[in-house]
Amino acid sequence: VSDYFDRIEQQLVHRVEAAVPRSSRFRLRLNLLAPAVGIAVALVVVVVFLSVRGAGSPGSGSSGTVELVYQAEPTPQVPLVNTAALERTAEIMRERAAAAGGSGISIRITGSEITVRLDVNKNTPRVERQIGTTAQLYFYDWEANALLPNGKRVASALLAQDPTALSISQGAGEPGAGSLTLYDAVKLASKQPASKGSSEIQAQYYLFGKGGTPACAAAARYYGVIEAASGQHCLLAGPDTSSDNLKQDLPPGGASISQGQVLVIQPGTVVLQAVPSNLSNPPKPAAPNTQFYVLRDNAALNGNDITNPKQSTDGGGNPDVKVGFTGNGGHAFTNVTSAIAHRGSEVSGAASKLEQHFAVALDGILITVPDIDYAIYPDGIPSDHGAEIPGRFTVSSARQLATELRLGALPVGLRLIGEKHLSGRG
Amino acid sequence: VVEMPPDVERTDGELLVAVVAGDGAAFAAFYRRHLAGVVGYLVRETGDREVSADLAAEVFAAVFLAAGRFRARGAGSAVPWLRGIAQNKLRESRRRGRVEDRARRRLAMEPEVLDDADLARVEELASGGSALELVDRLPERQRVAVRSRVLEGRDYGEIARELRCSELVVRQQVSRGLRRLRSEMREGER
Repeated sequence: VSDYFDRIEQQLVHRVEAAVPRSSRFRLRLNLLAPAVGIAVALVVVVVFLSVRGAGSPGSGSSGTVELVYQAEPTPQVPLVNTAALERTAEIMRERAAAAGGSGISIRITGSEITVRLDVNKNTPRVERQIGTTAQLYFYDWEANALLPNGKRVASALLAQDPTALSISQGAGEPGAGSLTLYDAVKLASKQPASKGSSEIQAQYYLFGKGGTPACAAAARYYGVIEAASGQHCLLAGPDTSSDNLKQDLPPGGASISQGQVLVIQPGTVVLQAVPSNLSNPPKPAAPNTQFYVLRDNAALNGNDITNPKQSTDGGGNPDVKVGFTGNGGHAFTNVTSAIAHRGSEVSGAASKLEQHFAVALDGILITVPDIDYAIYPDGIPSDHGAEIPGRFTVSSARQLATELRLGALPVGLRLIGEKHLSGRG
Repeated sequence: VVEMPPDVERTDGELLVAVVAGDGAAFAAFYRRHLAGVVGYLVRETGDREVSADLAAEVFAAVFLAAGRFRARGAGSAVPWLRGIAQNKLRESRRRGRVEDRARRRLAMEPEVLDDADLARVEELASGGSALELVDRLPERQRVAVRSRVLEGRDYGEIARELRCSELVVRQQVSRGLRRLRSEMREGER
């Protein structure tokens, strides 16, 4: 049985012998020949289709096919996108598609792009929503990481009774409790120094336009949001990992990169959307009134630290997600909740209780920011029996989150770079 | 007289000339000679076995495409040239955030999946590669002497003629090189 390096050697030896005619007079043709051979063979060999187990038969009951093309991006877990990570990603996407009721699904890896094709049926919109969701889950000490407009951490200003710090702390991630528009949040984040981040390892580029301009009108149409008024800013493109990608993502019809302001967030700082009132249908980030918070990207735990996620209900009968922890995850959970409880005890006065919080973010959106009652858990919450993630879940959205977490986060980030509808099976 | 296997007889430069002419066996010899060094370098730089295996495949695909541009210097070792390719591929991968695959795409190579045994092999190669890397860091005359005598098994007289010095000097260079290697390997184990 040959190993990886033997197989690579065999492929290369075969190409050395096949691509170059023995006669030296043809030697100069190598550079012309290799790409041509490459293209021809690539059509047959490199393109790997993975059929979905248990999916419906291709084309049955469909009225066409939709094709989604994703560009793989690095993550802290996979700082260099590699073949193995792409294959794991494709496998998770395939399982998600099957779980969401997709049919006729094929997934193809070409270079660092993943192309998904699926039949159009009643489940297609749900499959489209779920398949490319990275499901990156992060847990933060809220007050220790949330930033004030001056860039200081909320926790550092609580003893001084700073009103904005108190508002952000006790508002627990809700919109309007010290939150910012996307432009203001990105601007604040862009002023923070680079450091090692938990959720992003690359700088994040944003392009903003001025409200009332044709560029913002085009962006509003493109993103399906109301137009930013004069005096506001609108998101033209982003977040992306380079200004070149920003150019590619510009809304069609009038916007160019020179018409906007590019802001760059260095790794180490993260912008999170405020807790939405409806988790199944959160406000669009590009909508002018959607609210955000800026945090130091110093997560205490991530999705890899949890086990066995399940849809459950809390004591009041509300849907939530129950999770267990890995050994390391359990230690980290107890440690961070202990730090939060100790801080709560320190900053609370004799007359007023100032609970401190634990923030849970999924794919850039705060889903819940529960408090840790320092009177009940003075040394943190034991992790032995897991924990429940509360939130504004419906049974369906809690089940969806549990499924995503159970199947695992995608090892790589995905950026949708193309979507088209094909009339027949392609 | 013992006949040497062909890959030991031929220098890197000679192997690469043969590769350009379509000699698959020459490519295999070059690949086996340098695989451990390349994998060892990549593992040290990235700390990731999967990424290193992926990048090593890309480096050798690039070697094939660039073989015609290799110009031998000194004793004809391709190590500095190979190191340049590996550095470029690593730098470009880090810049783009994904492992370079341009050479493999150009050659229409099929992606190969790694299993646990392959990852163990990466570690094995990397530890072998480390010793070779240490040899490559020796001063030039010591490096040539150690490589020629210890790795390639050539006799002192032949090496002395190539280096245009006496056999005694070659023996001294080999001895000093090996002493230095032993010392650096002890250092590395601490």
